[in-house]
Amino acid sequence: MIHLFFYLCVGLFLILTQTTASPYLPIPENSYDLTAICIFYLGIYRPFSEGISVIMVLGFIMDSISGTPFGLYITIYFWLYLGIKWLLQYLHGGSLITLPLVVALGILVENIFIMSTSAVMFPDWTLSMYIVRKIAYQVLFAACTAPLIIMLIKTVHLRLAGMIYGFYDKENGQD
Amino acid sequence: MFPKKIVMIAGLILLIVAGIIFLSIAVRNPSLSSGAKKIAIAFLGPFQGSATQVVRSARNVWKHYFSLVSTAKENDRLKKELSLAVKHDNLYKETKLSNERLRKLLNFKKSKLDKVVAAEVISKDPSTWFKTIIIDKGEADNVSKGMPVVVHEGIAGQIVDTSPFYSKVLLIIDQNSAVDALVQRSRATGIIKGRSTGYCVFDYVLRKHDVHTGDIVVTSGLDGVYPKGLRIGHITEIVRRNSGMFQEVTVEPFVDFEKLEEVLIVLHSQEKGQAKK
Repeated sequence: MIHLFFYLCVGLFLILTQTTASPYLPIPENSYDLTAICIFYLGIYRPFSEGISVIMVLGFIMDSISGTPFGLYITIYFWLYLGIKWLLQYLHGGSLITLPLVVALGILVENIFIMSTSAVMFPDWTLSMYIVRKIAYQVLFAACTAPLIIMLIKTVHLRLAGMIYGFYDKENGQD
Repeated sequence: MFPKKIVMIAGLILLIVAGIIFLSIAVRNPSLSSGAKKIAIAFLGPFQGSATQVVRSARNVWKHYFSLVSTAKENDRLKKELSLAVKHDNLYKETKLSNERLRKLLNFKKSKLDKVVAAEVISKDPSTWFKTIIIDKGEADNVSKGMPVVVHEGIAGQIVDTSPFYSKVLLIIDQNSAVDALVQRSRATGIIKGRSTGYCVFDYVLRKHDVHTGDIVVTSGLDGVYPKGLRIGHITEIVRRNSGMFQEVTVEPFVDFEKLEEVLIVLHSQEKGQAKK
C-alpha cells in the first residue's frame, strides 16, 4: 500500500510538472510525455502486479485532462508496460546502457500510437517532416534525460522504503 | 488443454481487439466519457491551481527583484509605445463614434460580448500533439459546454468539458477544432481548422475568391459558437494548385497560445442556444 501511494505521488507530481510548471521551467516546448517516466520505472524495476493499477489510474487521469480521445493513454500505458516487461526477458533494462534504449523505444512507441490514432481520426492527416522531427527530438531528449529521472525515483523510493520499514521494525521491536 | 503459448497469443489478440473497440467507441461517442472526465478534472483541478500559483509566484519574485535592469529598458520602450497608443486611441474613439452612428442608422443590435466571465489558465494539455487548457471557472459560474473562449487578441477556443469549478477548453489550434470564418477584406468564407504545428488551415476557400497573404480572418458567426466578427488570425501562405476547387490557405492565429494566462468566457451563446430551442 505504501508503495502504491508512492507511485501515485510520483505520477501526480510528473503530471503537475508537465501541465502546470513546464511553461515556466527550462523544459523544451516539444518535450516528451513526462508521466511515461513513471511507467518506465514501474515496468523496469517493479513486479507486474504492483504497477498495473497505478498505470490504469495515471492513464485515466491523462485521458481526462488531455484533448485525446478517452482511453488512448490507458491503452498506450498498458501496452508500454506489457512491452517493457516482454523486452526485459531479453535485455537487462536496469543498466545504464540499456535504460536509454528502453526509454527511447518507449517514447517512440507512444508517439506511433498517438499518430496512428490521429491518422484514423482525421482523414486529412498527413505525416509531415515537422512531425518526424518532433518525434525524433522527443526520442533523443528522452534518451538523454529520462534515465536520470528514473534513477532519481529509484533512489528516493529505496531510501523512503528503508526509512518506513526501519520505523515499522523499531515499532515492532524487531531492530 | 491448450499449450501456454497459444493461450498467450489468443489473449494478446483479444486485448488488441478490445483496445481497438474501446477506442473506436470513445472516438465516436465522446459524451460517454464526460462523467469520468468531470471527476478527474474536479480531483486534479485544485492541485493544478495550487501548483500554478506557486510557480507564478516564484516567477513574479524573480521578475520583480532580479530583473530590474531589463525593466528599466522595457520602461523606455513602453513610454514610446504609450505615446503611439494615445494617437491610436484618439483614432479609435473617432471610429467608435462613427460606428455607433452607423449602427443606429442601420438599426443593428448591440453586441452582447459584455456578458463574459474572466478565468485563469491553470494547466495545459499534457500531450504536445493535442491543444487543450484547463481554466478555473466551471458550472458554478454558469459555464457550460460549447461556450466560446476569447482574449483581447482574438478567439482562443471553446469549452468542451466542465466540472463544478473547472473547465476544459479546446483551443482553435487543436486538430479537433473547426471554426466557420471569413476574410475581413473580401468576405471569402471557409472553415478554420487546427493543426498540431500551432498554425491553422483555412479550408474550403474557393479558388475564385480573392485572398491575399496578410488578410485578416474573422469569425462568421455561422457555426453557432463564436459571435460574428471576432479576430482569428492573418493569412501567411496561399497555395493554388493547377487542379481542384479550393485554395490551400494557412492562417497564423493572433493569440499566442504558449503565453495564455487569462481568458474570457462569453456567456451569451448559451442564451442564444436556449432561445433557438
